[in-house]
Amino acid sequence: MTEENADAQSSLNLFTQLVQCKNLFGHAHATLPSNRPDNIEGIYEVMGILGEGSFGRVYRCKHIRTGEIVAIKQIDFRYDQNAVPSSLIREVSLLRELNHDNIVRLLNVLSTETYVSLVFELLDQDLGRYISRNNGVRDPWIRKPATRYYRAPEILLDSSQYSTGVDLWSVGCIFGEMVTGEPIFGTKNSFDELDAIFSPTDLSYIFADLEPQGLHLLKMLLCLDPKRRVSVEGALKHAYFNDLPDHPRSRRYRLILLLKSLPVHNHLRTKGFILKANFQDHNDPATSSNGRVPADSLENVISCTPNSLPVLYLACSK
Amino acid sequence: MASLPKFFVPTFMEADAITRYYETESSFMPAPGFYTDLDNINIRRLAVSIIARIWTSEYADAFVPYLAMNYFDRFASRNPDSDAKVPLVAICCLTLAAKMRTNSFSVDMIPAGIYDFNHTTIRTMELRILDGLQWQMRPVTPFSFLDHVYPTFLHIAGFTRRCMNEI
Repeated sequence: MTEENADAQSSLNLFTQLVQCKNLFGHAHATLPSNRPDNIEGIYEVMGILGEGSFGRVYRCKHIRTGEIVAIKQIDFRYDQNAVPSSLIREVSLLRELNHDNIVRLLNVLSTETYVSLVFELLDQDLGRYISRNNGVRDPWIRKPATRYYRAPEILLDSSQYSTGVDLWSVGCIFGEMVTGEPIFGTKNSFDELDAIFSPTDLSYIFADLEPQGLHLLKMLLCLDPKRRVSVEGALKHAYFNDLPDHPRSRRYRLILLLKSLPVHNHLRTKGFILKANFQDHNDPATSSNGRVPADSLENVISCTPNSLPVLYLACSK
Repeated sequence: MASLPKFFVPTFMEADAITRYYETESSFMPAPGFYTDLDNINIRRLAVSIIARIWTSEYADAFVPYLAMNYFDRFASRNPDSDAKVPLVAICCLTLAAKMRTNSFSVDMIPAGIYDFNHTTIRTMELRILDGLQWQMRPVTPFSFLDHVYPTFLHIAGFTRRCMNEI
């Protein structure tokens, strides 16, 4: 119970940090459309099924009056023993606050006795544009290059087991990047990436500038075995953060923000559907000046989201 | 160990965030005058007693009942007809708050006793509350300002980062 509370707390505290992202919350708390009917039948025409999951179905729909094409996710909780499911409450309340180009917009929430319909903007045009820009290349690694530097070994080895450990690895990579100013596993492809990760290196040599406690934490984050990697709570309690000289721009402070943001990212990621992939390709000079996330953007640590699939950049400031 | 500047000067972004908090905080408060109305004082008293009875110390998280009362006040101030259903509204606010904050909460954890509501009743009221609050279940509360006031506390009482991380 205590552990989960800590988790929930940190995501709540995150609001403090998230609200700083001006762009993200540009129109936060906009009111929902007021003429809200009881069902979607009257206003939307179902054009097809986009996807199906344990939660219910996602339909491609057309607004009968305006002709607007939307995606409607219907979540049926008729048989849920817990009344309105907590995942739904959290998902919707988060989505109500988020407003960013890289996050699918929630246009409306329609509720009935037994199910809730979430009306989202429809995204598939974006994906089409992306694929054409890459000349139809469908290499799965090319589709998610932005985060490759931060990808945990178990993901590179194609493990389907996904856990928060993956994010903590990424935090370790970013932590290292804050110190050296360069991606610590910045390689050309995932094979080199694995090679770099598994080659025996002495971290204390690379990170000679780092305090001993910081190095200790870094080693705990970059632990190859996901089961032995430190947890979010464990990392926050690490001696490195004791008696913090708490300058908001200090490395440690930013690291805390990053760690605290993980539960929210996690939550967003479990809803793969709601995230628009960010197609800002690090190797594409058109979208990035020097081929990687500029070190400045780590200033707003929150902006740098070491996520696996779909990449989510919350407010990447220039 | 670097020392903190004696007077904390927020950056533009931080100042902006705080301004935004002050702006949005009011949207997470009940209508003005809500707390001084005698009827409201009575229904709040009832709601607090119900919530306190259910959320005993065995559930460690003290923020849950706080959040529940935030939902309750906001909902009650905009739905005057909810007076007659105070117990149901209070319990549903509590279940919603618990679901926001913890992962293992189940509606069955509400002890059966004086108030027995079935799942359908609870679900219906939960949805009414969610709609009534426009699904904005993560309010800006005084706790949100902790990061901002922290440097001030630090100079007054030796308040450490640890205390804040624990909050």
